[in-house]
Amino acid sequence: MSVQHIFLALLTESDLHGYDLKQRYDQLMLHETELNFGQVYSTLLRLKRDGLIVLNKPDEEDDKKTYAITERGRQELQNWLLSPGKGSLVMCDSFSYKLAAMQILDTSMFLRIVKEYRKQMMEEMRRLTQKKLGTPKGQTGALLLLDRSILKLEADIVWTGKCLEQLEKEEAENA
Amino acid sequence: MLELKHIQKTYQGSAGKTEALRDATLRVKDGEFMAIMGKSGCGKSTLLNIIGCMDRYDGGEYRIDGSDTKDLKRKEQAVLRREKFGFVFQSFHLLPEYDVFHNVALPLKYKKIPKKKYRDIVLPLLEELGIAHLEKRMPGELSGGEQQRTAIARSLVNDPGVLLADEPTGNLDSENGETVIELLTTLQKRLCKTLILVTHDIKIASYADRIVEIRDGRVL
Ligand SMILES: Nc1ncnc2c1ncn2[C@@H]1O[C@H](COP(=O)(O)OP(=O)(O)OP(=O)(O)O)[C@@H](O)[C@H]1O
Ligand SMILES: [Mg+2]
Repeated sequence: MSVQHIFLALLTESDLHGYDLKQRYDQLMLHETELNFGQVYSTLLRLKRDGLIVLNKPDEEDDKKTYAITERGRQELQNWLLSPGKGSLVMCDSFSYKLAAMQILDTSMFLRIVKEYRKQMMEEMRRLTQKKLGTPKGQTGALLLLDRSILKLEADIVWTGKCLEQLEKEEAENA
Repeated sequence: MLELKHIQKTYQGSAGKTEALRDATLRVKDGEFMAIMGKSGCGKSTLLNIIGCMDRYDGGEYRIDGSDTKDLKRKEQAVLRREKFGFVFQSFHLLPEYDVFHNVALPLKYKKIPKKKYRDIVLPLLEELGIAHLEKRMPGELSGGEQQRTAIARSLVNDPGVLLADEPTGNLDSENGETVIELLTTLQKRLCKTLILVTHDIKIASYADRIVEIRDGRVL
């Protein structure tokens, strides 16, 4: 899972506490998905078990635990960044699975779901556009990440328009 | 506040009737930026024209700041249109024989504002829209984006409460379109204007506080 790799990336910069890792992770993901402490803890456990990070000895004044990336961790991060990723690049979100199921359900259900999604996606696109407007021009990485999400949503919204047109035509013909 | 309830509009054309609006119900609060989206022919311009008192409706109710618009006389309608609304169109509608400054100043004529005062009103607007250096150019000597910015300045010169924009980025490439929509959004917020913008482009609509869709003459 990718949380591990973002932690590894963060640890290439400096050794960090679990709490800092969570904060920095949330920031990098533009607070669109936020980690809970359970996830932070289990991710750190797994990384440590696999020898990708080590726990530093607590120093005298500061008794909080910080983690450091190992050579193996750096190697793993490299591999992850450069590998093409497994499986489909597009048919992997929850909407794709619902649409796949729709092929065997009736048109009116399909229509209902597409309409609902269209509304949600338009609202999401609006929200992300406002977020982009509020992001300082210097934050290139964040802006590019937002641009990508906005463009993906746009594609889906255009698609739902096409979908509705087609399905409504079919429904009218069958009525 | 603008309130439309079950507005209907049928055009009586040479080729028969067209039901352009079947049921348009919506409410726009002061200072709100609302985008109206929909496919070509779904009734967007018809709705905007009714909102701006440029066209009459056949059924339903339309209230502006609480007062019904049904029994307005033509003259009252024209006054309301001039004082309450500013318009921006896809094809800019600038007068080709006037320069930028005079195109923007045009609506001031109707308000009987002395000519001496024009500069004080027009120049800050031109500056705000980044076209002050173009004040002496004729519309034919401007890019599409510059023409639209001139048209936006003109729509604001009367200080209307409500700005109505019909596909304001429709004749612009995506870069100029983005500049124009960003300017409109910024101005709307800073000047606390109500903005109703019609578009078929979700990218443009996303700048709004709220998006509504029209399909087949119905507001969804
Ligand atoms: N003056 C008119 N006479 C007859 N029919 C008209 C008139 N104006 C518009 N219509 C019809 O009314 C319907 C709605 O038109 P409208 O101009 O409101 O659509 P629109 O959503 O603005 O489309 P577009 O995106 O192409 O500008 C269309 O079917 C159009 O043909
Ligand atoms: Mg139109």
